[in-house]
Amino acid sequence: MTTARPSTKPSHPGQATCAAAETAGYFSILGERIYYVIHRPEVDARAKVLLAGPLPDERTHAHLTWIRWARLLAHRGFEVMRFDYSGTGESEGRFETATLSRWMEEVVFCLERLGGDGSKPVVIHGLRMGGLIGARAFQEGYGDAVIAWDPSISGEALMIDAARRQQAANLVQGIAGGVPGPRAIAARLEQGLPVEINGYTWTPALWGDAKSWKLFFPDPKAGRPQLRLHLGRRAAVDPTSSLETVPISWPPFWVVGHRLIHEVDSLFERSLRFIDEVAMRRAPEVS
Amino acid sequence: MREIVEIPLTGTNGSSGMSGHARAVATVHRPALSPRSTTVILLNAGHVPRNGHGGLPVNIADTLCEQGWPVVRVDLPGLGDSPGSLPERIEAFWLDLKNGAHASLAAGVSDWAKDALGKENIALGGVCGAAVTAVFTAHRYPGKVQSLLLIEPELFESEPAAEAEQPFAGSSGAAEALSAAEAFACDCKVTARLGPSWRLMRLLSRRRGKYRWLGRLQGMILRMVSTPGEIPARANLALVEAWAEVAGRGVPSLVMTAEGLLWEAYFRQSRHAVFRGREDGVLHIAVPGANHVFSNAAAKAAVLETVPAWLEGIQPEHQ
Repeated sequence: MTTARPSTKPSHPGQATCAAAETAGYFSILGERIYYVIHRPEVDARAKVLLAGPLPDERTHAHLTWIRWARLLAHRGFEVMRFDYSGTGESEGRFETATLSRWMEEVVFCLERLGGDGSKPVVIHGLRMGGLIGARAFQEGYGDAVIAWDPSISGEALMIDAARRQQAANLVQGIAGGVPGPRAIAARLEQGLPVEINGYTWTPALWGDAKSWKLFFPDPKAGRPQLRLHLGRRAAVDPTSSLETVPISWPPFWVVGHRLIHEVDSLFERSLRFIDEVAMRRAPEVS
Repeated sequence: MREIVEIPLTGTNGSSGMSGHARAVATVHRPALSPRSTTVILLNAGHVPRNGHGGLPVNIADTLCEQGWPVVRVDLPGLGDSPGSLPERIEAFWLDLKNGAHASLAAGVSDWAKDALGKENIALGGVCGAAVTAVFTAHRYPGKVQSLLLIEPELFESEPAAEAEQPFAGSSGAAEALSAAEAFACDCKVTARLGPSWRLMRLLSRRRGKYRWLGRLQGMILRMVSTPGEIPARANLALVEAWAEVAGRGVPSLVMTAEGLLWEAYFRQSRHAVFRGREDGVLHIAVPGANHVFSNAAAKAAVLETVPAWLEGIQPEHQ
């Protein structure tokens, strides 16, 4: 399915809705049909960006902002691919068979499809869990640059965080049958029993695989461009780690809040600047 | 087999700015063999994408598709993958939704589905906000919706911005609201109680206020402060009116609610006030242990068991 878009100049980055065309469909990867959308710019793409999204319950709330970002990138001359991990979103497959390692294979597959003949630099851009997976893919040599928005520091932390949200939601609604906390959930998974979290069944296999995941970026001195952004209420730079905190409206766009259109202009601008630099760095080689 | 389609629409989504021509991206679950006469359309649960909370709409669609029903899960303009503008804040979006602003778009999806999938009947619905829009669509466009699938329909006003518009008892606005409520098109006379409990329910029914932490206590309090047989304070009268007309007309509805939550309490009291035990074509299932967005295991299991059986039951002659 291809959708033509009217070209309208956004008044600011947060309002961009103007990709030249969006094509949605399915890839077959490892026996599953994976939903993808490609946002093509109206001009020859300067670079390509693969968006690797968060866990499915965060996807629910992050979706509008994530798509605004994709459309803004297309408007600025970048080709963008976004997709849903198998068993989540619009992709087929069962969540019960998912692991982070499997989802990383899907990231790699999409990177290879997006990269094509290699004539354009490819940026891996991950949000939360996507940041964790994208960083590992980058570490293993895929992509020309990586951006991570608030990446999870480990697979275990990612799942504990989701379990906490479930616990809070259950407490609010007084769900019968008790409210297991993250520790009880982890213990159950360690015993080899599945657990239902935010509508999805976590398996011991997912848990076991997640525990082997730690956030790791290559040494910046190696010269491969990378940008890790922490998202918070105020701008800051940690002098010990050089980690930048970019201000966004709060609560963040991947959890329940008051906003449909989040204030993420600083985030978009900082990230665009980085991708622009990646595209310009590669441009002389191409010519 | 799932396929992605684009649905051309004409209409408006309220104050959000979308009007005229628009496009909606949808996923069609098309059965290999389809002896059924009904297409099921699932709308966005409020502002979330068409795969919903916990993937419930996907689970419903896959289950129904396996049993021969085609299903369309659609992102209305501005939502999910569909282009379009939205208000900045969720409260403004909900005010539009609760006034039925998305009904014309949903009616357009119904037209498209009848043409594209060749089924004569449409079952329209979904979770929470989707159920609200489905009711308004069935009310305003009677030929386009033959049955309703309503999961946690939100029959009450919930956003602070609505407060200025909601009349207090004794005001001239209250009289107008009562008058509107009494002018229902069905033979069921409805009156709205806008008494002292209105202020309390205003606090309890806020989606994002601190009182939401009361959880199931909200439903208990509503039952305590309401008068049996009267529509509870802070009900969305236009929506209750629309639902009463549709149900009174005999349009079959499946209503599923999370047992004990505020949504269920409003539904039960409003239904009782409108129909007082008379036949209304509504099958109501209260699901113990379900959460509001129906994403947990208890909720999903109940939905996946109940919906196919209900569809089978309402149009057996067409199956």
